[in-house]
Amino acid sequence: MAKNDNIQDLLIDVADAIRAKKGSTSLINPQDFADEIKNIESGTWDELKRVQKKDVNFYDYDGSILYSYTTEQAIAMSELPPFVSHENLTQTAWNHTLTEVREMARQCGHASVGAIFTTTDGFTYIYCVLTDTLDVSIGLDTWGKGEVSVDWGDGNVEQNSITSGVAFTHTYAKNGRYTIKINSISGTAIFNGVTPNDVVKGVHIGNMSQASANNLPNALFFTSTVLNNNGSVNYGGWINIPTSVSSIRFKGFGKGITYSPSCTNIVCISANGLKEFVNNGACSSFNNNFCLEYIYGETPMVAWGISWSPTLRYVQNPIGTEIPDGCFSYSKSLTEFKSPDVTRVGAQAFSYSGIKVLDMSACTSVPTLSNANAFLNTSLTEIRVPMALVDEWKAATNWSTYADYIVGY
Amino acid sequence: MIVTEFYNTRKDGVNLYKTYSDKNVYIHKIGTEEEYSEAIDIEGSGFEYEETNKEIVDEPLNLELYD
Repeated sequence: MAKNDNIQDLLIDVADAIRAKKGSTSLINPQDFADEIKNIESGTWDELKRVQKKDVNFYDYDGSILYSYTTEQAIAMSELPPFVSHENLTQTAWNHTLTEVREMARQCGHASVGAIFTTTDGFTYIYCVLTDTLDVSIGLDTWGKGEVSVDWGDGNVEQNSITSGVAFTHTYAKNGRYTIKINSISGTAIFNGVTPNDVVKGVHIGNMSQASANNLPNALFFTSTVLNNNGSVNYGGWINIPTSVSSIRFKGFGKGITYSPSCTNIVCISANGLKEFVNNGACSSFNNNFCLEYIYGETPMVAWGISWSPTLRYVQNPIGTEIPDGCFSYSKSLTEFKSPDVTRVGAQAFSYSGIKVLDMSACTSVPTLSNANAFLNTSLTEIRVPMALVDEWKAATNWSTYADYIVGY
Repeated sequence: MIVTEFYNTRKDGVNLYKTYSDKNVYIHKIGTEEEYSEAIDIEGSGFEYEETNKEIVDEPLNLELYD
């Protein structure tokens, strides 16, 4: 929306008129409109008012809501809403399937769905809304010598050779909405984040070699689409996600975690603000997630991998041939768990967790229970096993300790 | 050395016995591929165990919190 210099006066006139009509000076204060005036001046008013948030929301690349539905409407959906497109971006998918959306609506009463985009030209795009600041700095690094051009979106373009960490800085002439385009000409540049990161509404990593996971903008994960198949978070070991990030969804790291062979060595994500993690693919560990509630998609079970997740209460699709040692230990909100067909349950697999009902009915034989302490200090009440295996299960080593809880299912 | 000792009696009156290694290694149930850090069996199960050379690693019951 174009800036309207008269809109502030108009709003004040409206406020004065309402106040006069009400005959009161306490009901309406022109200052009440300050935020709206600021949004109008910065050109974001239209987008903020576009769609009202409901229970199930479909998000655009910048965090704005494209479509919203009540829980009942979402459960009754027969197809996902139509794709959208933007300049430089082509939507390729939603990050949840229709089945997942309906399941989340049923189970959780709410869901957030993001649009997955690819850039049409392979460049990196940073979407900014400047309201309180005019200064923006982009951190870049490089493998060896690199050549980078930065189009700031206001007519200014610069191109530089970089050999190590560097910040490209720019001062805009006025507030507003800007799309910054970065072309890693050499293909060796590394995206290291934007300062201040609260102005960033989305990032699409294009032809850079990788993005630094330790300094990603807070807004990066608004739609989970920002690191798409054009990009790669090429980090092994630990990834620290900013506490502002509440959700990482399908292709949230694009090739990085989900598909890239170069990232299969990621062993743990430490994300204290995370409330859900969807289709984690090769990522193997979630321990120490103190807000994580849901894990959707295929979740590899590894030793101590999902332990110490005290808020975790739902794992949609755990995969593996065993529930390894300590896998869900200390996950105190996990009261029910449906296991795939496994051959082993490790020591302390559920110790100190909230497990009450363990559904092992998918097992085709009695799995080895390495140690009875798998359920140490729990309130276990029921272990569901195939009807044909009940007697064998009750007599099996270590399972025999829990014979009272074993029921045919 | 393999140690077997009385563990407890279930509500249905069945006695349970615990078997483990005093060398803190996994034990192998003879005739199977099963290995345990401790094995609790019902009385008269007939299972026999032998020590392996795999040391039982202490589990990280208290993980450090990460930044």
